[in-house]
Parts: sequence; structure tokens; C-alpha cells
Amino acid sequence: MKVAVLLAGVADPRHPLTLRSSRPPEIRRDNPLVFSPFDEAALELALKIRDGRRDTAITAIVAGGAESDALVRKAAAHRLDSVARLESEALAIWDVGATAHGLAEALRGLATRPDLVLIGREFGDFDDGALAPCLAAALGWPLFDLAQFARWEGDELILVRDGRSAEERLGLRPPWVASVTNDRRNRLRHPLMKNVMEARRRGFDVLTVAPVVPSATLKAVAPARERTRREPCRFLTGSVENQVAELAAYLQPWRALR
Amino acid sequence: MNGPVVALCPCRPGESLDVGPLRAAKTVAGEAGAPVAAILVEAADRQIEQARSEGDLVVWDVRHADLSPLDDAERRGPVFVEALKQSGLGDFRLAVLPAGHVGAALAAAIGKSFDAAVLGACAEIVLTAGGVEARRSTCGGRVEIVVAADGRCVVATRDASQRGPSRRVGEVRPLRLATPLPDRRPVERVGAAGRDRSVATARVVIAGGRGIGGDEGFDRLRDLAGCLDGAVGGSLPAVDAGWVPVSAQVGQSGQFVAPEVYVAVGVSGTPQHLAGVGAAARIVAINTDVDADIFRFADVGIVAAWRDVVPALVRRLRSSPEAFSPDERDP
Amino acid sequence: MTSIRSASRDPDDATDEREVDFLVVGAGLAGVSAALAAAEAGLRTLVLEKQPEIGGSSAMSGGCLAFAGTDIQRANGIEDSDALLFADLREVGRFENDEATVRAYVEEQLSTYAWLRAHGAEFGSMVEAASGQSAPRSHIVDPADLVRSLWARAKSTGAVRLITSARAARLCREGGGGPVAAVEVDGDGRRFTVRASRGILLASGGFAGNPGLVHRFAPQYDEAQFVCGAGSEGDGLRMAWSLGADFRDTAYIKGTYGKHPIDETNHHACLAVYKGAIAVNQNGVRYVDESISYKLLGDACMAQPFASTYQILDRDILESGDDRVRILDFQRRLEEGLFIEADTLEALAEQAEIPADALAQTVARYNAFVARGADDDFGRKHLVHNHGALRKIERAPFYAYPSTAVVFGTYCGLCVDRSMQVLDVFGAPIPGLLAAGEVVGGLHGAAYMTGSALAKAAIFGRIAARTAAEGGAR
Repeated sequence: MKVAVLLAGVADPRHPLTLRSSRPPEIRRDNPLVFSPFDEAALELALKIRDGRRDTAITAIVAGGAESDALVRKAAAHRLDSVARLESEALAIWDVGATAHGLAEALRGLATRPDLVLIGREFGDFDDGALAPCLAAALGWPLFDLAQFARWEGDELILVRDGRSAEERLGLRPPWVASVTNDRRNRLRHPLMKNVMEARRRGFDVLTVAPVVPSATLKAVAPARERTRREPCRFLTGSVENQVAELAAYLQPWRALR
Repeated sequence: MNGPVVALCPCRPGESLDVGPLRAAKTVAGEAGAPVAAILVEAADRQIEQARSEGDLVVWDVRHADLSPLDDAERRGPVFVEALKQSGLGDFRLAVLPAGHVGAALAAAIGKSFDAAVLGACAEIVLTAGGVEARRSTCGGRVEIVVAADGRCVVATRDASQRGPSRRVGEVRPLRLATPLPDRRPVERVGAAGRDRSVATARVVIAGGRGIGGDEGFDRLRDLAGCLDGAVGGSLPAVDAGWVPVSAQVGQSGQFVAPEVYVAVGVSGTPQHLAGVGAAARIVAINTDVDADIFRFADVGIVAAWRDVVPALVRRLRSSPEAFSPDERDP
Repeated sequence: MTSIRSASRDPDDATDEREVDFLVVGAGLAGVSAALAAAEAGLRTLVLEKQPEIGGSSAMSGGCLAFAGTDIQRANGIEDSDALLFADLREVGRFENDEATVRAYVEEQLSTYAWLRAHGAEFGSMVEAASGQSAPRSHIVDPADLVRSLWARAKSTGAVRLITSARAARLCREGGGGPVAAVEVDGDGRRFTVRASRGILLASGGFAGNPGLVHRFAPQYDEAQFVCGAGSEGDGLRMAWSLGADFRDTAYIKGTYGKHPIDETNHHACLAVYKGAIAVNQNGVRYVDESISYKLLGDACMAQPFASTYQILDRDILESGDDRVRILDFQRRLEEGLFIEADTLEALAEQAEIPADALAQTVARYNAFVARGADDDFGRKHLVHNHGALRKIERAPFYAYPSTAVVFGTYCGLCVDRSMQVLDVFGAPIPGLLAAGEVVGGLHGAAYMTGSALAKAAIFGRIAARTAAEGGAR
């Protein structure tokens, strides 16, 4: 099984965001980066697949500029078969179409075609979940959404997610794209110090793809308006019984099906 | 461009229609005077009626001979694409989908077939001379960007606005399709989903904090989650106290959750905790302390002890006669 | 050298805070204690903190303060005294520490304890025995809370101001070589000068957050982990050095063994070795008597390949942990996925990428030593120090805890006299300049008594404030 993991990294949420530039690559450069929970879940899923079958080969591609080299090494510390950085300037990462196109190009450029592409359900700081389906469309491959876990049954790899009413399983017949969401079972393991140090010494390739004309232009970038509600909290009033009744009515659309 | 604004509505049997895309489409079109249409695939009569009653639009009641309720976006995408073509809406300026992974999958299919720009989950969507401009939240909710595209565009929305005024009810046009669809995927459905639902994927998260005070309180929160098709999570102090498994910890050092509704019970609302809650979630706060930070972020608040609210809420939700859910999973 | 004669007062500065009696650099426990004591003595005091928040390394510490002869000890039936504390401190430090500095600590410790209590410090009702203590004397507080509450008291006097996100950059002497009388400060995007007529206190912490400086004195710790306040970069040391200040004990910078080398959420070390685990390196070989001080274990670990080793244990040892004790909370770490776990030693070795036969052989050889009662390789006799019988590693599942050393503080620093006045390289006091807390050297010497670093911050902070109040600093 050949697995390609696409990783992006996000500005570390534990630090205040520095916003000096309106260019996404520069915003990325100005802030400490970490893998997002979805990046980590995708990487761990690949490692789980390799745990089950030692002949699994994992390639990780980190999309970013030179500031992302530490992330590349962080991925490499899991003793992957190959790691590379994909120069992200050409990806126009605010534009889903351009990014999907660029990632698909990079995947097509790999020496061997992956059987499975794993990507976090959100890819980096500028995606809200639109990218993974567009990547699958750009590759012309099917997509398994929000995968949570993977296991081998004999020679067959099974991807698993919690559906609404049932656990959903896909017996993989390559090629597929799977978007991965975080789950107790795919919390990223810690690499061994030995491999962290080896990863520091090891070099990696920097991939480039030809830029495409983005389908969207970036008109403005600004700090989010403070996360207080534009309208202040609506405090329910009256007797507690009245308040409970009003809240029950508010929650009605999310009632469980019997 | 004079093309229409089209709301695309995946429907689920037995549930009420998610009218968000429809209302967003009307709002966007209204400002520019563009025609509005809604495409409902495999909708029940009641859902058609819901769409029609929004008013001032054409409702396309689309059915496909080869579509089953369990079919996912892989087979629904082509149905929407074909419906757009056969209904004469192929020159749309803007297609509006519900936010979430189903909407995202349909957006990808439509983007590819019509060479349309996929803009993601947006707010403040406006039509421009040649296309669309919209605002999107990025960088974990810390930065907002405005994107613009010419030609056809696809956006997702979490519009929760009230129904606007309309001059006349919508006109319904049936459309029957039988175009070939891709093969069904070999996805197998087995048993029930895990007993303790994952907070990461739940549509409703009930989160308890220090204010809950113990295991017994969390049992009541689980009752509430059961009524709401939700999952129970906890803040760091609740996890520290052993009331909630670490896998259900919500916050910077725990899970990131992006539910539609986040019910915070006895949670003070530290930035570290709220960093784990998606910006689009509607927050309901129940807390005894009117000065608790959580109320600064909440949409709806009750200042009371959870013991006085949660059990009563559970009783009320259990006893009300009918339940519809605008679920977006497995359309 | 900058002369303050040329420094003019900021004409826009309408407040008095740029001209004070006493200036404190750093708002950890030492700085806050000094500020409160100075305010009580009637000094107008300004505290500069480089970080946006107060607390520094103190707030991140384990919260142990070593006091002797307290009411809490008496309530627990523990006999302790100044004399015993003095003897312990000297002995732990292998007499490498400075007798006068140790004496200053001992003489003021009990009054400082009472002073902290009087200012609302809440100590736990139990005292723990720990490294280097002949009598249990680790008094436990919530350290972040302690700094906050002392600061609240200081603020309520009305005599103390605080500027955060303001970094002291240079010390200025009056005239050519006169007393230290002003500090140049970087804050608010500009540089300004603060003058202090009664003394300037460096309470700026150590330099565990400055890898370059650590490397200069302890290159063997290059690959260690560092856990300290973000501001611990040696600013105070360098400012004092530029005035000719002497410093000491840099040879004794040490890390604590048992820190997971990758995990960033647990700051504390895990010492399964003290419950019977063995320590093996990446080659699957033991390299040390695991019962010795965790600081010495830190040195031993840093000499191994990759500066990282594994504590190897079995189910029985894992279950003998105690989740109430930070260094022994194995179960919690297991739940957090920090232990590597396997049903056989071979499978464990495979996950840790240790040669499987080497690990199996090491464990078998060690188990034979335990059975025979003699460790031919390293002479280990007990679980920890002189306590506990060795146990075999034999019941599945087996566990490996990846471990390196963590440096919490630098424990070395400026030479001071007993009034906390900084001494120059010729042993003469530098007028106007005081030091307290981690920036002071000479108390710990060659090794470290649990609780002496945090207590020293409060004790020396108070002494420095008194020196300033009595006019002794000039």
C-alpha cells in the first residue's frame, strides 16, 4: 500500500496571531506553525496503516514555504519513506480551486501513484473543509469523507467513520482520497528521539508546481472582529419553567430521531 | 451576467428542510434583483411546501430514477449537475449550499462540471458586476478575508436568518431525471455508531465544566445529549476531575469541535476552552454566574443552576410530540 | 558606560513612576516579595516585567518551599531546625556553596515563612520529604497563586507600580563609577530611563530560556528539554556582568532525568526508576545505578546516544505508581499515551527501535541480579537512595517511558553578600545593585535541595528590600 499524506500546518493557536501582511504566505511566515489536529490525524492514520502492514510506504508532502521546514522534519521524524515540501506560493491557498489543482499536480508528479491520499478535513489556515472534495474532483478519484480510523482485514484495508446511525466502513480498492478528522484512535503518537535527530540530519526535496490563475482573488485580509456576538447574548427571562420551554423550542431543530 | 441565484438543497426523508441556503440565496439575489430558484432533490411533499412558502422563487422538485436515500454526494452531485442543466439554470451566477461536508462535496462536483469558483463557507455574500464577493473566516477564526470571483460561483452558508417578506408563494416545477449515475460505493454500514458519540463530529455538543460538580451531573448531560442527537464533552477542569474522558475534552489542549449548537453548562468560558469551539457554532450557556465570560460569546443564555434547568429541559424535549432534524449527514 | 547625567526625563511623562525609590527587575516570586516588603518599609517601588504577565519561572514551578521549624511541621510531628537545615544545605551542596549565602537563607527562612503566611499564603497541611532533606520540609503552595496574591497585597499598599512587557536593557551608574542609579528600559516600542534613589534589584531569574548561554557553561545539556518562564534569558546576569559582577556555580547546571523528550504538555519528570524500572539506552543497555539522585541520572542520560533513554518497567511497577505524586503518576501518563506498551519485551523493543535481543538480555541479566541480591554492573541496591527492595521486571504488559533530562533552572548566578548586594570580581560590593532569586549564585552549590530555589526567591527578595530600605545598597 502506498499512502500519501498531505499536511499543511496552522498558526499555533496557543500564540496570539501576528497579522502584519495581507499576503497569506507572509502571514504564515510571521507566525509559529504547528500541525493542526486534522493534519495530525491524517498522519497518524497513515502510521496506523503501516503498523498493520509493514510493506506500507508513506510519503508526506507539507505545503508551505521555507518557514515550514521544521514541520517537514517533524513529519519525517516518524520514519516515513519520503518527505517533501511543496512550495506553496503557487497554490494560492485562499483559493480552493487553485490549491486543489496544485496538490493534484504534485501528486501526479510523484514517482509512483499513491493508492490512498490522506488529507485533514481542513487543510491549513485558509480552508474550511472545501478543499478535500475539490482535490478528489481534480484527481478524478473518489472521496471518503471524515475518516476516523483504519484497520486491515487480511489484505483489505478498511477505512472507518461514525455515520449517523451506523459505523460506515469502506474496503479500499485504490485509488481513493480520504479526508481525516480527529478521533481518540488517531491521536498522533510521539516520535522516538532517535528518529527526531535523524530527521534533523536528513534532507528532503522541495517540489514545485506551475502556478495557475486563481479562480478567486483576495480582496481584503483583516483581523476577525472580536468573537463576541454582534448581538449580545439573549438572556431568557421569566420563570425557570418559561426559560426551559423557550430553550426547548430553540433546540427543537436538533432533536434526535426516534 | 443576469443568471439566477440557485439554492441547492439536499433533502433527507422525514426531516425538515434546511432553509439556510434558500434564505441566503434570496437575500443575495434580492439586493441585485436577480431571479432565485431552489433545487430540491428527492424532497418530501412537506419539504417542497416548506421551500415554496419561502416565497418569490421557483422550486424545482427533482427526482432521479436511480437514487436511493442512502446514496452519498458521489451520486447526488451528478443529479444536481444534471438538474441545473435540464432546468435551464446552467447559467447560474451563484449556487448556494449548506455549510458542512455534504455541501462541500456537492460544491466540488458543481465547481468541476460548471468550471465555477468554489469559495467555501461564506458570509456577507454580494453579487458584483461580474461575479460574487464574500467574506470568509480563516486562521481558526482569527482572520477574515474577502474573496471575489468572476463568472459562476459556489458558496456554502450557515445562514440562520428569519424568513423574509415575500410577495407570492413559490412556483413548483417537477423534473424527472434518469441519466446514468456513477456506481454505488462499497461503503458498508454496520450496527449502531459508538455509544459515546465523538464530540469532534457531533452536530450538537453538550459541554460541562467545573460548575457541574460531579459524575451525577454528567449523567444528566448525557440524557440531554440523547434527546438532541449530541455528544457530551467537558472543559479541562471537568476532565481533570475525572467526570469526562480525556477524549472528550474540548479546548486548546483537547478536541476541536465544530458543532452547529454548543450547549455550555457550568462552563466559565476561558479563551483556551473557546479556542476548541468552531466559530460557526451557536452557543447556548447555562451558568449561575451572570458575569461568566461564556455569556460574552453566547447566543442564548440562562442564568440558573444546571439542576434547575437540565432535567426539566430533558423532560420537555422527551415529551414534545414530533421531532424533525435538518441533518446533513448521508443525504 | 551610559551616564545618567545625559539621560533626560521624558517630558511627556506626567507620572512619578520614572523616578522611584526602589526599582525591581522581574516579577517572579523574588521580585514580588521584594516589592511588597519595600512598600511596607515605605519605599516608592516600581516593578518591571519583560513578559505580558507576572509570575515567571516561579509560577511554573512545583510549588515546594523548604522551611524548617514551622507550625505545619510540628503539627505533623516533624522535628526540624535552623541548624539541621543549614547542615543539610551545606552537605547537599557538597560544601561548594557559599557559607554566608546559606546562612542568610537559614537566618531569614522562618520569619519569611511567617511573613508569607501573614500575607495570605496557603500552604498544604502536609509536608513532603524530598531530595536532600533530613526532615520532611517541602511546604506546598500553588506557586502561581502565591505570586498573584503577594502582588495583590503589594498593589494594595498604593506604593508599588508595575509595568509589564517592559525589558530592562542597561544599568546606569551615576557619574563615572558611582552607584547604580538608573535602568534603561525597552517598552512600548521605545527606550526610556527609570531612576531609583535607594537601589535597583535584579530579580530577573536564570537563563534556562537562553540556549546559547546554557551551551557556554553546560554544553552537555544542548539536547535537553528546558522548562522555565519565557523571560529567563539571563538579562540580569548580562547587565550585572557589564558592571564587573562576579558569578559562580555554573559548573553545576543540571537537568532532572525523566522528562518525555517530545511531549510538551507535562512539564514534570516521571521517575519509574524509583519504583523499580531500569534505564536503558537506545542500544538496549543499562548505563547507570538507577537509584541515585535524579540530577545525576540527568547527567548520565545526557551522555547516552541521542541524549535520550527509556525507563523499562512491567505491569507491577506501573501499578505501584501514585497519581497524587507528580513524578510517580504513571497511570495518568499511560492514559495520555506517553508510555510505549507491548505484551512482550521483543514487541516493546521493536516499537522503541531497540535491538530486541539486547533488551531481552539486559532485562534477564537484571532480573538475575535482583534474585541474587547483587547488581554486578552498577551496584544498585535499592529503588531510590537507601529505600525499597529491588523488583524483577517480568509481568506483561511491558512499558517503556522515553526519557531525557529537563533543566528547570540554572541554579548558578551572581555573587552577593548577605545583604544581597552584588559583588564585583574583586569581591567589592557594587553600590546600588542588589540581586535576589534565581539570578543569585552560591546557595545551592553542587546539588539542589527540593524547595530551596522557590524559598530563596521569597527570602532573598525580602532581604534585598530591607537592604534598600535601610539605605545599605548605596
